Amino acid sequence: MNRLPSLITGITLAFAASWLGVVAYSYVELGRLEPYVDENTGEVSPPPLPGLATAGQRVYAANGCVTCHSQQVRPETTDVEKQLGPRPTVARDYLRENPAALGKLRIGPDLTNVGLRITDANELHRRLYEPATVTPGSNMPSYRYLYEMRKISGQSSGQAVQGLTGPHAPPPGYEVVPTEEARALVVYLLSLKRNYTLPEAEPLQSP
Amino acid sequence: MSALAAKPHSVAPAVSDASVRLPVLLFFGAAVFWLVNGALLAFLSAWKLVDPGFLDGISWLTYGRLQPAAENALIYGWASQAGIGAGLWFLARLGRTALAGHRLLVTAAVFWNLGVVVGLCGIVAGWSTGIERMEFPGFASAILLVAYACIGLWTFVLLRDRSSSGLYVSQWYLLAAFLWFPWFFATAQILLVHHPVQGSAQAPIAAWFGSNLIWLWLAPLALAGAYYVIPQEQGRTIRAYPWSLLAFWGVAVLGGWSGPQVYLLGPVPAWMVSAGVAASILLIIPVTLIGINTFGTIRGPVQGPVIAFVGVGLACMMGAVAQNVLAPAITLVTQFSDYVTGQNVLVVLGFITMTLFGLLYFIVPRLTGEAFRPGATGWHFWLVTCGMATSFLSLTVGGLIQGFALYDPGVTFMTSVELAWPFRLMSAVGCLAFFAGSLYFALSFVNLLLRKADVLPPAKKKGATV
Repeated sequence: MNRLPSLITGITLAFAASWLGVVAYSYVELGRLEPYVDENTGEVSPPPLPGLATAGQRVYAANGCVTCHSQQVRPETTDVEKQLGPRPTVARDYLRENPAALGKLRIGPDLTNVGLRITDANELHRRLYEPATVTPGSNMPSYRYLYEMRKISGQSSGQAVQGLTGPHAPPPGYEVVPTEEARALVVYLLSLKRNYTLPEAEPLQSP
Repeated sequence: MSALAAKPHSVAPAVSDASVRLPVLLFFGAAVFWLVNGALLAFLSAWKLVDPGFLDGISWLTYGRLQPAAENALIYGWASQAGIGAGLWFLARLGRTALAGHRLLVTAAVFWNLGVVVGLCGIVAGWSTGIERMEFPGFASAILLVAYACIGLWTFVLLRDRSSSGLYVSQWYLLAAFLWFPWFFATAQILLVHHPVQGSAQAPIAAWFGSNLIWLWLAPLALAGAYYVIPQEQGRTIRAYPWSLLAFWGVAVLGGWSGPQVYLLGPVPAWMVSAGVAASILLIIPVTLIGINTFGTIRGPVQGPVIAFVGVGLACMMGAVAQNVLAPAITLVTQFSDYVTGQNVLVVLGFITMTLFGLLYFIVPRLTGEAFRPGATGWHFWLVTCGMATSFLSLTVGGLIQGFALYDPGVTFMTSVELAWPFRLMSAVGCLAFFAGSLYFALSFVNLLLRKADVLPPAKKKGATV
């Protein structure tokens, strides 16, 4: 091994093993997973994402939501008991995610099933705009840069965020309107629901 | 290093030094610049977790952009460039060869830094890919790869044109690192950023990339240096040298497999996670051998910054792998907690950064013929070591407590946030000390260069003989 060619061969082979085992295997096996179609109901799982949710994934990635929020419900832990979701997640759950934001930390709560816990878009907008007001003690940053404070001229916009009370709440005569990015992000968050069944996943548990 | 019997046409160290002086100093200078910036960003993002109102509501300063910017600045700006610069110098020295010309390397250094600038601006501007340690937007990573092509080519030329027979273990590590980096970096970029595979397949590839970045890129660069500077500083050969080659193959085979262990119980194939756990535990074997090689060679009281920094760095490496061994027993509690961040601090700021500091203290005086001010090295050493250790320990202890809170069904999520707070505060203080130490080092580095303003064109006088 003290000659360059044989050393290069060894170095290449050592690397090729994990390259084939992890990358090529994932590419071939997991990369070809298909949605599960229930023969009786015709229901597709995981369900297709609403158009805006795909844009919302980009907003989620661009603002680094994954640095604090995981999207995994693990088996053999208290995750289901802590109501992070009705069942542990499996590889196929991430079929439509790009990027798949599994996350490594829970500086903030897990968001795998945030769309099951919060079903009201306005509620999510409030939490993004003034998280520390909605949840006292929260260390989540405010995403108010994804919103516009506008003077109400004539009729108020139907999209304005309701119920803001914190220091950045709109003064009288003003309203806070989500930008396209904020609306996409909220549509994406609302779409995060793993309440469908898959043959390889554990059955759903009622909360 | 008796294996390195010189052939007749081998060049003197002064000549090989002179041939790589400009590119190596350029890589080092840029690396130190990014170190200071990365450490500052790391402190700011750590502080934001403690005081979320701090600089809040500004898009480009939001935590989710600042934290990845800090990580990427430290990895691609600081550690990679310091490692590349050191690697070039070691290859020239060990091969007793001189670089034919440095124009291509200087261009590559400029382009690499352009890639880092574009990438960091991309992250804070909101074009992050959202994939850990690959947050640079695709076009920035492409610039890095193009710059890398020139660097990798030259390292191969330096190896091929070596005039010493045989290959020392440092050259093994460098050859391997310079071959592996473009392979795994391009693979991950293509499959996750440019032509993303579907979501189900992304997690294992991203985890594989993460472990490769450490074990098949930064660690080999750092270890190559450690194997060179320790015997030089101690004036004796590596203890149990043949084991170093065994350790090399251990790192080579296990490094790539160890990644998927981060998804224990996660939605990736169980066999892959098992392989990841096994590989990350088995890493203890090569790492122990490396420990015997290196610490076995260090004898007597530690004198000078080189051995002090490299020693701390290698101790952190062993600590991080010891954590891998412990992992199966405690992962249920530590997963998703600050404990994970703590281990990251131990690897990136402890193992990689400390070792690289030692290498810079060894190389820069030899390249410039100027010594670092002895007083400055002490401040630098204690500030960064204590800062890193404070951050690591507080995150580890805090992470365990937070982890129990996250695990316990009877405890609310907000309680876990409250429990982690004091430890995050301590960690932020540690980051501040680390930043101060880094700044101190940068100032003494600039001071040294200013004293040696005539460093270019090639200085005739030589520093320590090696």
